[in-house]
Amino acid sequence: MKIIDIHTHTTSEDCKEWIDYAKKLDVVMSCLLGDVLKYSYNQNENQVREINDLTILLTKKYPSFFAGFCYLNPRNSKRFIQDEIERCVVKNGLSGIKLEASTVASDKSVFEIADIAVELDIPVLHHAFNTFTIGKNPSPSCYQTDPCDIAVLAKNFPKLKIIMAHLRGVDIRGIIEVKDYDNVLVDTSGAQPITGIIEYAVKKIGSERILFGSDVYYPYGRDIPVQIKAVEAAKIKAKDKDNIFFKNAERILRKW
Amino acid sequence: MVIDVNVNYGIWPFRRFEINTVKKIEEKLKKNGIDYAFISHLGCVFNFQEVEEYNKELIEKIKNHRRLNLLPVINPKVCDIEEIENLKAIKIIPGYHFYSLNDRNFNTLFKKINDKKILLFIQMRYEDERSHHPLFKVKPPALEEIKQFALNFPEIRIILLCGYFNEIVQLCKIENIYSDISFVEHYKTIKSLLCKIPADKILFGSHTPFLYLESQIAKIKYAEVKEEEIEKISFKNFSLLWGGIPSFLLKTGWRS
Repeated sequence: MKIIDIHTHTTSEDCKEWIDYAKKLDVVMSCLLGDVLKYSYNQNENQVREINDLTILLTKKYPSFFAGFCYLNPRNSKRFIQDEIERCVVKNGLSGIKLEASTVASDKSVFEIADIAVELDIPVLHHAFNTFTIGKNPSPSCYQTDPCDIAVLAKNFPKLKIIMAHLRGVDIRGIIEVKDYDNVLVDTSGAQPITGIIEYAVKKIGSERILFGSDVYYPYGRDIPVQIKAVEAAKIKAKDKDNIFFKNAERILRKW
Repeated sequence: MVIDVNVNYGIWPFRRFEINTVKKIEEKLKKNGIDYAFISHLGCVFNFQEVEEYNKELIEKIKNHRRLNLLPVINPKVCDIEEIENLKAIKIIPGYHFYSLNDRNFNTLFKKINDKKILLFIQMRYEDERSHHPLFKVKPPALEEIKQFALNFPEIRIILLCGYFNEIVQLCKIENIYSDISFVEHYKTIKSLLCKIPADKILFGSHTPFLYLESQIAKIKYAEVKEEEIEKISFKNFSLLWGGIPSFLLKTGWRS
């Protein structure tokens, strides 16, 4: 079964070893979301640009394997954000926007980015976690987005395609919070290969709204086969697995 | 040959398990090539005053299941020291039973465990702390506390269950501490782990049914390390700790 990995990061300019390994595991494409932890959570404009430079470099160096999303800090200036989207998406072919923990998805500054994403018809992949347990502001400058925040964004932008990251981080409640918003998809990454959550998500929102993501942070991060097996082992139909592993991401990544 | 040192039976109040009977657990293990497993009752976690009753209940339930062997839980606060006399291995759960390993009141008990060369499994956690119920957050035992305990009782062979990568890398540097792999995840988990600690320190543990067994097997299958290291992790290390090939393996015809 062919696999597209929608949630990956790297710190390295040389990814050949990763690509060879991933291909052996039937991963045909990986989506780079940037080295988003390099400068903590509130990156300045130069730092954001540097993060995206690496993503652009890698999508050009390995064009048949990598897609990439443009990383943004919504707390940067509106002008910079517009220019960076223009540079990364329009001029350099990145396929979407990645938002992490600089602010929460329900913040007005994110709405401005959402407007542009709708205009360009590109998805926004937003970090999310269960803040009932970890808290909204667990460390300075870190603003954790809860699935409730994703729901607010989805409600305000029904034409925006949102990928809520970390199914196993938002857990069962995360699915419940976003299930009424058809424009929200979720990726499978986020924690250990916990049983039952993928099955629950397929049952509640359908496999058409779930994407495989490993959260590998090459040469660190998650173990790709461990994350793949967590979907393969789920008690769901073969067509659901095909949707999760490949078809949904194929539909979303424009350059594919 | 694979021996799984970390399997659970019972109800977990915060998550519903599909694999919820002894029969289903054994079938799952068999299907995934696990020859023998050490299993404990989850009732011991919360009803901490009646752990012996749950141990007895599980002995009865597994008596006709040749792949399953009881790993009895003890709570030092309510443990009858004489009752551990004939045990070869026990599990303790300091986080959920809220005690310090270095509480002087337990010295007699641990001295006995030391003298009798009983294997001591320490449950570090059951779930990622970020996934805990917001009203039920349980801290893992402190690493310094475990270090001190291991130094105080150098003859006790300690096996950590569900430790994170960084935790076990730190703790397994101490001669009498070993660990399972259930919560260890990293890009190329086993290969990365063996760069930090020798294979002699690692045992296979799946943490079934919390985590997908298939994902845990994948850690070994895609390990990219020497076959002899895989054998150590899969069963040889456990056999050595047990003091030879366990009799229950001999009875069923396993050849070393």
